[in-house]
Amino acid sequence: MLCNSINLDNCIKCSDCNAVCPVSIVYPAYPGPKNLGPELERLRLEGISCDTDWIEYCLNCYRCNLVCPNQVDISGMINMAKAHHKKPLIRKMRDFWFSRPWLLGRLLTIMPRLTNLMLNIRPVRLLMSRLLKISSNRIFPIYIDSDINVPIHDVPKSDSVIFFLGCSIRYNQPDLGRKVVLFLQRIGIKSVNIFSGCCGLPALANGDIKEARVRARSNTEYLIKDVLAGSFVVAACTSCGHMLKTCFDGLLDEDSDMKHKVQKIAKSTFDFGEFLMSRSDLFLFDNNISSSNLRIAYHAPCHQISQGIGRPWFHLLKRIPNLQIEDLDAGCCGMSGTFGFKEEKYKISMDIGQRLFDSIRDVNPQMVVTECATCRMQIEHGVKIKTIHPAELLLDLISAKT
Amino acid sequence: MESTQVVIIGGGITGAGILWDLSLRGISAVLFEKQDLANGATGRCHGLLHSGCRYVIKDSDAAKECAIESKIIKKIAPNCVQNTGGFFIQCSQDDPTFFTKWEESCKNIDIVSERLSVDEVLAMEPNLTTNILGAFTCSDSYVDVFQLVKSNIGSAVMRGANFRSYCEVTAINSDGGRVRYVDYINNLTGESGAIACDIVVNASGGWAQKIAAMVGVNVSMRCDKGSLIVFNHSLVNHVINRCRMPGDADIIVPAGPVCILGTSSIVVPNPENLTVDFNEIQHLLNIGIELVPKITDARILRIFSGARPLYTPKNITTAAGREISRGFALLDHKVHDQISGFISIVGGKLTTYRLMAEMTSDLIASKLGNDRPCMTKEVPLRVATDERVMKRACQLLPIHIATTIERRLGSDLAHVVNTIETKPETAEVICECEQITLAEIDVILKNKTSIPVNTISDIGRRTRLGFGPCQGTFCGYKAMLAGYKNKRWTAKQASEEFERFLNERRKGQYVVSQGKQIEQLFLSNYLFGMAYNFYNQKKG
Amino acid sequence: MENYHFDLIVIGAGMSGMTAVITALNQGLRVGIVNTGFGLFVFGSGCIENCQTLHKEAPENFNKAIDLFLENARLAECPFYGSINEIRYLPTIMGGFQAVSFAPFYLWKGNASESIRSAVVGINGVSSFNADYTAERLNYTAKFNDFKTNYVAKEINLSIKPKSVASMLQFANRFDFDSRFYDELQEALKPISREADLIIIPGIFGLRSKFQKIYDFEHELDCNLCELSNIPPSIPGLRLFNVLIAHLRKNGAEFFSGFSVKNLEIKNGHCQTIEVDIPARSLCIDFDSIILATGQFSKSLIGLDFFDVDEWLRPITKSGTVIADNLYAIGDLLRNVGGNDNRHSILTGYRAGMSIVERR
Repeated sequence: MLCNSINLDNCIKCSDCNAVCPVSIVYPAYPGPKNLGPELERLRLEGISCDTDWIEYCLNCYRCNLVCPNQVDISGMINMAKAHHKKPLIRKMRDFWFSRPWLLGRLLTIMPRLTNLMLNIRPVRLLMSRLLKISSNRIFPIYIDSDINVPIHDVPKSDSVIFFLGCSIRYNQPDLGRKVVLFLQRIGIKSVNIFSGCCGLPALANGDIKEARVRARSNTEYLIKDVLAGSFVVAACTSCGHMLKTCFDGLLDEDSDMKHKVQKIAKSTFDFGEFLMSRSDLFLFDNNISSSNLRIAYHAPCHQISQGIGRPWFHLLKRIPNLQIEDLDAGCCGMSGTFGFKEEKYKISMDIGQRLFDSIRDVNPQMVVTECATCRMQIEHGVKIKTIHPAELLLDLISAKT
Repeated sequence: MESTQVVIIGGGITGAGILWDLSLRGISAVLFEKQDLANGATGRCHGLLHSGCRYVIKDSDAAKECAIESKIIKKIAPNCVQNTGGFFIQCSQDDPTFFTKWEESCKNIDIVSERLSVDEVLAMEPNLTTNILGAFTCSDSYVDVFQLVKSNIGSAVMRGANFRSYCEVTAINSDGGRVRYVDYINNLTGESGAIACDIVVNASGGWAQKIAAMVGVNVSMRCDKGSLIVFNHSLVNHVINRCRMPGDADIIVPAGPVCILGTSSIVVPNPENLTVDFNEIQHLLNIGIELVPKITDARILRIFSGARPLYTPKNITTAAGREISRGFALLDHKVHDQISGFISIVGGKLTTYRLMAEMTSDLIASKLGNDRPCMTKEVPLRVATDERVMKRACQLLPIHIATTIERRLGSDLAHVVNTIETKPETAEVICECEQITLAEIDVILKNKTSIPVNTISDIGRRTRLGFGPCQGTFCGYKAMLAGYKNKRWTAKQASEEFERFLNERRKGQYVVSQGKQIEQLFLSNYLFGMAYNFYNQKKG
Repeated sequence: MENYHFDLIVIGAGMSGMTAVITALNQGLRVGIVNTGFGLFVFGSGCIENCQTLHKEAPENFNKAIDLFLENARLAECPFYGSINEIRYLPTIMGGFQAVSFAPFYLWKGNASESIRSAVVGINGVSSFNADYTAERLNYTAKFNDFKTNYVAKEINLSIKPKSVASMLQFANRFDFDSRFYDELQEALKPISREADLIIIPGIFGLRSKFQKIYDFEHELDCNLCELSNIPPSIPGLRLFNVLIAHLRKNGAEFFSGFSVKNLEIKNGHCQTIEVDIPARSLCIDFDSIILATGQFSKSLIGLDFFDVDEWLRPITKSGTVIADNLYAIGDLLRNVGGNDNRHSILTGYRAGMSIVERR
């Protein structure tokens, strides 16, 4: 179980969670986190069948967990309930693929040119919407088959970092991956190993807990050796970081040995920005960054907020001379990984994003920076504005000088 | 003057059972209850439908009775019973010779029990202590007492019987050694009346002595208080008994969404105004922890106590509470006290209520010259719900709500479905903890079901409204507005009723000294006391 | 690995915590805030209770504290009205009256002692509010207290989203994002505004709307408005919380929202660092001073020997020893602490903030 049943006892029905849930806000028919989480959990424990399609509408954004004054693991309860949810065949088929971005990535990068062409022509998209209930309004990201080759220096492991690539960087933005590695090397990390497994969060969010367990297990087995040797795991994708830090613990709790390994990995996992902040001694910032006259807006992804690490990228970017940066602080973008691709959820996804879109339009920046790949997708789709990972911006300004 | 053949006093499970039995035999009867149904010991117990195993050593007759009766109840009232099954846990610290003795005794009276290994038990009950040697299975179950009483009375009323809640019998008038009529008063309206009858049945449990005194008869009762602790969610999946001589806090019953630990056993002077003190709770918890260590962290919702009405004829008055027979006594006061037409049914257990009702009704029937046999063994307590209605309910409501309404209301689900079909907004859940819809409250308030409700607590006893973690803070308020909207109460009455309801709910919470329920209570007090200034409606 | 350092860390963002933050920011301190949830804002409306008795005890500080708070509420675009010597009686959904000295602008006009015609407006289908009930009770209580206002119940129809339940939260959210709803509400209230001097309605005017939006709405309607704090989540309370937080953020306060404080490390009478319970490992935040504004259920954070506070609002033990020289406690945390019950949120928040500035 992801959460201890005692945890639900903490709920005092204050309804804070319902007031912040992005889905509840735009789509009042959704029963809300309080209902799907602790209230139904109590009945589920009694043995009453509480399955409902609404469970699929949870974004897994963690905002309910964060606002809860009593630390009820509402998202954890909903994720568990998702695992027991029964859906019709078409949605099941679609979610099978959405749960496995690694598999999708591998298949689609066999013939990337053809794939990219096919995925974005109208008839194919209409067909997919009909057959697989994937919204035809969405533009698929471009699939790129490219290995991120980095020379691995022969240095002691203790000064090394495992870069947890994540599926979206691996298959859609290998260039960003290369930049991150370069960045890490530039700040003095001698050895950067790349790990290109899938974190399993898409599987968890799509209710495929078996697949999530498989991913969690294989990741743990792979990472543990280096982590025990003193390596840090760094994730540039906030969702991967969130998953590594919080969810493996609940997924692999069958034996204490595994639990120990999982906790060890979680303790050594860093969000990229968080890692840079903590290594500011290595990071010769002040005399190394060229100035920029850009006017940008920063959007904090939900899974960055859920890690509780403050706003590392916002503070890092603030060190760029002359840069104008504004924190949008406008809630969830609504994309939530694969959620926004689903036919029946597309409109909700866009409605949720509206507040963010409006606030971007108000600020009217030259570009938006945000760490999460799907947030970038959503912002570009909703506002038609260039949106990049903050590391890309910062790296350019560092490389410009050196 | 109104008249009937039989007047039954006491709306607990015994009285309800007798009403149903008599109605099946075609004997007209009126049941008087001074408050709402199941207000005495019936509504204040574990709700454990005994398989008999608990009594195999001390009282094998009682055990046999329980074994037979529990099977019958599961058959006639499946909606009221949650067929959980139970375990008798062999704790390492308990006397091992008792285990073998217990197993043998079960065999002797043909109660089937399997022996389970530690791993098997823990796989099914992960919250149990690991400090055990194994367990025996049994067929203990949880029975929802409110539903059981309601089903008995409801079915009887459908057959023409009469139930009067909040009607207290003030006098039983006899003349020439024979009961003639009873006086009663309606506790809500203050109206009084009288009803002529041939027979008065005293089924008033802990109040039996008081009622008998009305005709100058002494029925010696002892009230033995048992306190129980309700936890917020189900910590166990089966009824957990400790395999040892019955003692305090050795049963945990999964009672719907909550679970209940109990009980204590303390002799009290009378069944009203029972209080619980801190030490008593601590005592129960300390023993309970030996079975389920997790209860230290679990949230206690409330504490309640009931008084077991134990019949103590003169010769065994020295025995302590638990040792006095759990068996029952049917007293025909014509034989004992030369008062014709007055019968007392005292003692007994929840599980054997049907048998008690059968024997009482047999006696009544013989007195009235009615020779119809008892049919309560076979006739189901409730008409089955039409599958089409259930299907419609599932389309209108989430599945868990449809299921629980069906369990509570049976065929009355049709009324709820109709209400929602005409007014879709009534599908709104107004008690979020227990997932009760406005439609259900509306149906109950409009008395479409056979038993009237008068207070918010009554609604609670029909539906579990206010029984969840918020203990009526939000749902009580909404139920009050529903009552107001249904023209049940004026605004003033509604406010008073709501305040009474909140106080009643809080009574069980104040004794909980730690944990989240204190915060919940604070929330409730803050909301209505400070934010809405509800209690002190004078200046500021 | 050091992450963050602040001049002041405030734990808890209730009324007292926010006042402390405001005070410190005003003095140019770098402030971090660790908080979860909406605190009591989710139940109430953030009115400042009748403070005449308090005022007599601590007049100088209190005036300054209130002035500072009001100034910031104004800058946050949620102005409060009122004065220390004034008492107004604002209606509640249960039909009682709350005696307040200050209230946010969207509540202030609901004074019961004026001789006006008030319309209590309910919305058809909302189960958590009944205008008839509230009006009937208000009239009863008003008569009892010799208030002159007369309350009439009205009901309006508003559209609801398909398959949803009509809740105040739904309407408030739509008021925020849906301009059609704004117009719809305006239309629905128009007829009532012609017959009444004051419209009383449960919280509906958005969770994020600021002064101008509600003012425009009121102006367009040409009738005074007063909101009632509704069954949780209370819309007026959440709105106040949201605008105040946004204001503090804009003024440079750094928020660590969503996590509880696991541990206060107190060594040699000095609080050195706090451990915030974030996923995977604790977040350690360093600071010069720390203010606890965590409400009445968190006394254990300070420790069992927490007995009272000294004149700087630092927790002390029974023997009078200061538990940590840079640790302050304010707000409801001081409920039932020591002999005095001086736990007024704004006053203690201000005093603690000033203590830190003075002791630097």
